[in-house]
Amino acid sequence: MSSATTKRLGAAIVLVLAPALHAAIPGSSWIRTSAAVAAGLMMIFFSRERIHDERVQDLKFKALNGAFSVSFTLTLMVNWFLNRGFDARRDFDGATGVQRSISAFDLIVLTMVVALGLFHFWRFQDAAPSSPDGGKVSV
Amino acid sequence: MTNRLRELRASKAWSQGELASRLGVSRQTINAIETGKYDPSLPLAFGIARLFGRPIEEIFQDR
Repeated sequence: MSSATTKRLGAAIVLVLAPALHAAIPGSSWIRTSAAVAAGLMMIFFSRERIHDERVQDLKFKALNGAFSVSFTLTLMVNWFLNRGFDARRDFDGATGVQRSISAFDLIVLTMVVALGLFHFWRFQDAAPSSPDGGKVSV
Repeated sequence: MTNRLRELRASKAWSQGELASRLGVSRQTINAIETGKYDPSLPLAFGIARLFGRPIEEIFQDR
């Protein structure tokens, strides 16, 4: 499968398949949907770019590095606000099915969203000329 | 690290895209190197030196 196809398939899962399945299956939970969304986002992030050179690899690694820090911090903060503490036993109440914590799939979704955002922002910055002549060469 | 990539590219009258395709990288990567946002790997630096027919230390200088 080519990288462009993998990217399109990932986008289709995130934008069409996951929401459609969520709507079609009665009593479908967000946990199941978030697993599909996480898989789609990972397909988008980890597929190769059209020109996959060393700068792309460098930026993807940096983006993943930054995204993990951001998403772990956010997860800890949200879990604290949901529970007013870090008691893992209260994270999920099996009897009532009430979830009081962000799931691992949510963490992956958050990490991938931040990583994709950072990667494309830095790639956009790379394309921007920093000199008034716009990097053009006079012939 | 500083480099003379923009100056050397100008001497050949190449666009960033033209240089990028000769080196097998993207235009954004060439721009990132020229603006000092990114230091290339040794294989890419050697590729640049070979393309311009100059020693590597003449193109890239340690600040």
